[in-house]
Amino acid sequence: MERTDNSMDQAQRTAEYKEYSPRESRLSEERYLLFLEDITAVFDGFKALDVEALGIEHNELRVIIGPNGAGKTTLCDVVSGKTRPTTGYVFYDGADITNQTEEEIALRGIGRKFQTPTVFDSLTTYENMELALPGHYRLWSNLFGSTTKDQEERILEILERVGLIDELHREAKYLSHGQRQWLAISTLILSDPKLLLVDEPAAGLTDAETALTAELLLELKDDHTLIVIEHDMDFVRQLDSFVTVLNEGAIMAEGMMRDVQQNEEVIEAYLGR
Amino acid sequence: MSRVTIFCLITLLSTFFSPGLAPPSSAQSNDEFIRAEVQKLAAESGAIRKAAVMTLAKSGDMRVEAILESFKLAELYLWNDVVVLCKEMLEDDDYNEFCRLSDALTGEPLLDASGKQYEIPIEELQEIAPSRAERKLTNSAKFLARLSSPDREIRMSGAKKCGDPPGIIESVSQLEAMSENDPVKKIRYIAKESLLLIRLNQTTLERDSEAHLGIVRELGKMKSMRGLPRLQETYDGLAQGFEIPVAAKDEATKTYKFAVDQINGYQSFVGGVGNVFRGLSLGSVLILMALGLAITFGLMRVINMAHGELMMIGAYATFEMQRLFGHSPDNPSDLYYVAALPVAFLSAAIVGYLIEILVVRHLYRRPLESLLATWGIGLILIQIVRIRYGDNIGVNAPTWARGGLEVMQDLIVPYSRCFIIVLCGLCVLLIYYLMNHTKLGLRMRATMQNREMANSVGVNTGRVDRYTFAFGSGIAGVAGCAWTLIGGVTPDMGQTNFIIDSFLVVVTGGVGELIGVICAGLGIGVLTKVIEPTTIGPFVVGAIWAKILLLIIIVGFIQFKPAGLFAPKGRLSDV
Amino acid sequence: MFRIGALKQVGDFLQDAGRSKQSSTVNRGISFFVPWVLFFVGLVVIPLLYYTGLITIGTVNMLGRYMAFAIVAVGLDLIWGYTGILSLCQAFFFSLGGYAMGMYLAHHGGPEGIIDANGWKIPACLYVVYPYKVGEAPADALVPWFWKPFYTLPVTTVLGLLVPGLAALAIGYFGFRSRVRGVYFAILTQAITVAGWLVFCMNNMKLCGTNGLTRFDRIAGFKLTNPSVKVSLYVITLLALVGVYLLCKHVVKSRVGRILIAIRDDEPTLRFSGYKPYIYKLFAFCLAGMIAGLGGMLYAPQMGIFTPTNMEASASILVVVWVAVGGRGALSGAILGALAVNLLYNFFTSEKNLWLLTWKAEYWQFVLGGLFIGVVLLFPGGLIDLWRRLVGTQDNDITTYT
Repeated sequence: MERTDNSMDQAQRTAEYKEYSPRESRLSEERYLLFLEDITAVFDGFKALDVEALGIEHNELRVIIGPNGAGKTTLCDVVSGKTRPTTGYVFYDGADITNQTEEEIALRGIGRKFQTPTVFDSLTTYENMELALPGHYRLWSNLFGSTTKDQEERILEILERVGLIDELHREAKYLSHGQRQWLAISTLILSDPKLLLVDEPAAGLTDAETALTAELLLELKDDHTLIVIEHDMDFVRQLDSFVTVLNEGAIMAEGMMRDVQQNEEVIEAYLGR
Repeated sequence: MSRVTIFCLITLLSTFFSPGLAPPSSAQSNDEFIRAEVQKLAAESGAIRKAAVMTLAKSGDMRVEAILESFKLAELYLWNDVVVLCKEMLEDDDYNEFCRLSDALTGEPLLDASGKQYEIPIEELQEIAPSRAERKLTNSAKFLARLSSPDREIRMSGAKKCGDPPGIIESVSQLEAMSENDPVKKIRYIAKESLLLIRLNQTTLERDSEAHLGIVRELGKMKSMRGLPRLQETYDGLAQGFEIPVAAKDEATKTYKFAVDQINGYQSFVGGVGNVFRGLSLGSVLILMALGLAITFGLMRVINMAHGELMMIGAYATFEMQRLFGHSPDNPSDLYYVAALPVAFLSAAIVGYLIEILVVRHLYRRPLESLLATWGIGLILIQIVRIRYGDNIGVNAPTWARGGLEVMQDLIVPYSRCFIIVLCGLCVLLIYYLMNHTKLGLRMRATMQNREMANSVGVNTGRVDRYTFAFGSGIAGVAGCAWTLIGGVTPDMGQTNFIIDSFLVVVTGGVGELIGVICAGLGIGVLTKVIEPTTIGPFVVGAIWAKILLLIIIVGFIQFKPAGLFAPKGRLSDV
Repeated sequence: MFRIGALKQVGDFLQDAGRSKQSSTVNRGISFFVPWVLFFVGLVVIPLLYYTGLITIGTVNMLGRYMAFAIVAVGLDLIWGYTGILSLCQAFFFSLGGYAMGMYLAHHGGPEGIIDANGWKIPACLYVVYPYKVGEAPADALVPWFWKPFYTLPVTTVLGLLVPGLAALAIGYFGFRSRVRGVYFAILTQAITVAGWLVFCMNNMKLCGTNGLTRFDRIAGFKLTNPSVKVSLYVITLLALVGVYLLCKHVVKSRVGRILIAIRDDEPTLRFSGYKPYIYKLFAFCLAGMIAGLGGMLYAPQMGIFTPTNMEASASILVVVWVAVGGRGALSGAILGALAVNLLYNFFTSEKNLWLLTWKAEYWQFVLGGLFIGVVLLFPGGLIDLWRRLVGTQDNDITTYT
C-alpha cells in the first residue's frame, strides 16, 4: 500500500488513530500492519511505556528515536512478546497478539534484532544462517530435512553482501562485534519476516558499514515493514523516513526527521533541561 | 512468627513465677503421730494394719511414700518392738545373715553407742509381712500419699494415678478438695478428671443412668483424653446395638456420641496445632539452611551442594563440644550448648571460607559446574567425617531443652523446638540487619546487582564473596547445631535429608528477597508435617508420600511462578 | 562453490578447509576415532582375549555393564552437553528400564512352586516382601497387576523404553513448559530422583523394597550363569551402544542438533526466530530418558540383581561425572568417560598396599570427590579436549562448552 502523506503532522495522525476504536474494527483494518492501543508497561511502579496509539502501515519504514530510557526497547519487547504489557492491546495483521508467546509472534512474521547482537556462539556463521531459514520450525523436518541448494545460495549471497563469507565456518564467538552485528542482521534478513524490529543496527559499525546498513534496510523496505530503533542521527537522516520520538515512555512527536528536528520539545528532551 | 515466640516466652516466664510450690495446709503433721501409725503396721490384726496404711497415706507427710513402699516390699521388721527398716543384708563367712538397720521414718542409719550402724542377726528380727490385699492397698495408698505432696509433679502424678482404672475410691474426698483448692490449674483439672473417671466406674447406665450420663457430659466438656478410651468403648457397644438394658437408650447413645465427638474434635485440633508447630521448627531449620544457599546463589550464581555437609560439620562441632564439656544425660553440663553455637558457626564458616578460596572462587556464574564441584567436596567431607567418627553418634540435648510447655490442655510444645524457632528468628533478624544496615551488606547488595559496577566503584568483590560465603556456611553450621536438639546426626545427614529440601525452599521462594525464603521455608516445613499424619481412607500418608506430594505441589506452583514467590523484578530480570 | 579466496591467513585457510562441509570426511578428529577404536576393541579384541583365556568371563561381564553405563552417558551428553540442560534424573530413567527388565527376569527366575490364587507364579523376590511364611500362599498374596505385562520379553522391551520415555515426557512437559531452566531444572530433577528412590524403597509398593529384584535365572530361556550367554549379552550391549551412538550422532548432525546447541547458547533468542524450544528440549529429554532406560534394561541381566541404590541421588550425579570426565559436547567423550571412571572405580575399590598406606575401598569417595572438583576446575573439556590440546588436532565433531 502506498504511503499517502509523508508530511502529515503528529496531531493529524494521532487524531486518525483515535478514529479506529472500538477495537473490534482494528482486527479487520487493513491499513495498519501493526497497531498499538493504550499500551502501558509498568515495572515495579515505574512506567516504562505509555503509548496511547501507534500504527505502522504496510511496507512502512518507521524510525523510533528517543533519549536513553525513553522506552524504545521496551516497545520492541512488547511487540515481540518478550514483555507482556500491563494494559492495552497489540494488533498485528488482523489479529490480537497481545498475549501470545515469543515463538507464536515470530511465526506470524515478526522478526527481531536485539540491541546487543544475539547470535549463537557455538554455531558457525553458516549454521547460524541455516537456523534462520524460514519454514523449518517443525521437529520432523529438522530431524531429517536438509538445506536445499537454493537456500544455500541465498545464505551465501547475503553473507557475500555483508562480507562475512570469509568467516563461513568460524564459530560465532570468535567474530568481532561488528561481524556479529552483521550476522544478526543477515539472519534477520534471511528469515524474511513481514515486520522487522531492528534495534540499533548501526551500533559499533564504521561509517561505511553504517551506510551499507542503511542501504540494506531501504532495499528491504520494498516488500517488508520495518521498525528501526536508532541513536545515530546521521543514520536516521540516511534512512529519511517517518520518525516517532519517544520520551519517558510516551510518544512526544511524530513526523519526518527534518520536521521533528525543529520541534522545540524534542530538542529540549535530547539536550536536557 | 515473632508473635509465636513472644507467646512462648510469656508462657515460659509465667510458669516459672507461678505460685505452685506452696504445700497444702493439712500436710503439717508431727513425727510422733507418724511413728505411732508406723508402729501399727506391725499389729497382729489386718484391720488395724490397713487402717494404719490409709492413715499414713492421708497424713500428707512426704516420707510416707517410701515407708509404704518398704512395707509393700517387706523391708520393715520389728526389732525390740520397734519398727525398723532394713534395706541391706550382709553375710559373714559362715553364711549367717545380718541386717543393717535404719530408721523407718527418716531412712537414716540407726547407730549404736559406738557410732556404728546396727548390724543385727536376722533371727533377732521379726518380719512384717503384708498380705496380698494389703500390698494392693498399699499400692493405692502410695498414690494417695502423693496427693498431699508439696511437689507439684508428684501431686500431679498422684492425681492422675488415682483416676486410672480401676480407680482408688478412697481418694475421692481428697480429689474433690484438690479439684477445688489446688493452686495449680493443671492439677485441679487432673483431679477433677480422675474424680469423674472414678465416678464413671461406680455408676452404670443400667442403675443410675442420669448420674452416669451427667458424668459423661462433664468428661466431654472437659475434653478429657483419658476418658476417651472408656467412652469410646461404651459408645461402640451402644452403637453396635449390644443388648444393654437401658431405659433411654437413644438418649444415652446421643450423650455418648456427643462427648466422644467433643473429645475427638478437640484432640484433632490439638494434634493439628502440634503438627503446625513441628512444621514450624522443621521450617526454621530449612530456613537456616536455605538462607545461606539463597545468598550465595544470588550473590555469585553458585550452587553449593556441600551446604548440607557444612550443616553436618555444625552438628559434629556440637558433638565435639559435648565431649569437651563431658556432657551426658547422667552428668549434665548445659554450658556446652552455649559454647557449641559459636563453635558450630565458626567451624562451618572456616570450612566454607576454605571451599570458597580453593574451589568456588573459580566458578562464579557457572551454577551447573559449581553444582558438580561442590558435590565432590561434599563427598570428601562426608568420607572424612565417616572415617573419623563412624556412622552414628548421639548428641544429648541440654537439660533445659528437654521436656516442654503445656500451652493448652494436651498441647505440649517442646522447649527444643521453641528454641529452634527463636534461633531462626534471631538469625533472620541478624541477616536482615547485616544486609540492610551495614557496610558489608551494602557491598553485598551492590555486588549481587552488578558485579562489574561494584568492582569499578571500589568494592573488593572478591572479599565480599569470601565473607558472604563463609557467613552463609556458618549459618548452615548453626542449623546443624540446632538440628542436634530434634534429630539424629550422621555423616550424610546433609546429603540425604536437607540439601534437596533447602534448594526446593530457594526455588519456591525465589532468590530475590529474604522474605521469599522465609515464607517458602515455613510453608514447606508446615505442609510436610501437616500432610504426613493425614489419613486417606485407611492409609496414613506418611513421610515418603508427603514428600512426593509436596514435590508435586512445588512443581505445580512453579508452573505459575517460575521464578519463585518473590522473584527479582524489573526490566533487566530474566526468567 | 564457496568463495574461499581473500582469506586473511593461511592458517585460517587450512582450518576452514578442514572444517568446511565438503571436506569434513577428510580430516576427522579424535572424537571421531575414539568410538570406532573402542567399538573395534570391544567387538573383536575383548572376545578374542576371552576365548584365548587371557581374561575371565567376569571381566567381560564387567565391561558389559560398563557399556550399559556408557549408553546412559551418551543420552545425558545429548541433553546436557548439547542442549545445556543438566538432568539429574538419568539414574531414575535407567532404573525404570532396569526394573522393567528385572521384573521380566524375576518372573522367570527363582525357585519354583509358589503360585498365587490366579495361577501366576509369584516371583521369589516379591514373595519375601509379602508377610507370609514360605509354603503358604494365601488368597490375597497375588502378583500385582503392574507385574503382569512384564511376563514376555518383547512387551518388556517395549515398556522398558516407553515407561522412562513417558516419565521424561511428563517431567519435561511440566519443567520446560514453565520455562524452568538451568540449576532450577537440575534441582527439580534431583528431587524427582530422590522421590522415585523413596517410592521404590517402600515395601508396600510391591517393588521388592530395598532388597530389590533378585533371583534372576533365565533370559529368553537361556541360563544367565552360562558364560556364552554372558558373552552374548556383552555383545548385544555393545551393539546397542553402537546403535545409540549412531542415532545420537544423526540427531546431533541434523538441524535439530544445531537447534539444541542454539538452545544451550541462547534460548530466548531462538524463540524470537520462531522455534519452540520446549519441543526440542522435550524431544532431547525424552530421547535421553529412553536411552537411559535401554541402558538399564541391558544392565539388569548382566548384574543379576537390580536394587533401588541404582537411583540414589548420588547415582544420578555420577552419570554427570562420567560425561564431564569424558568431555561433554562430544558423544564419544561420554562413552570414554563412562568407561574410564568405572574402570577407575574398579581399580580403587579393591584393597591394596601402597608404599606408606593401605588403600581401602572407602577411600574411593576421595578419588570420586577429587574427580568432580578436578574435572570442573582443571580440565572442563574432559579427556577428549585434553587429548585434543595435547595433540593439537582440529576437530569438528566437538562443540566446546565455554
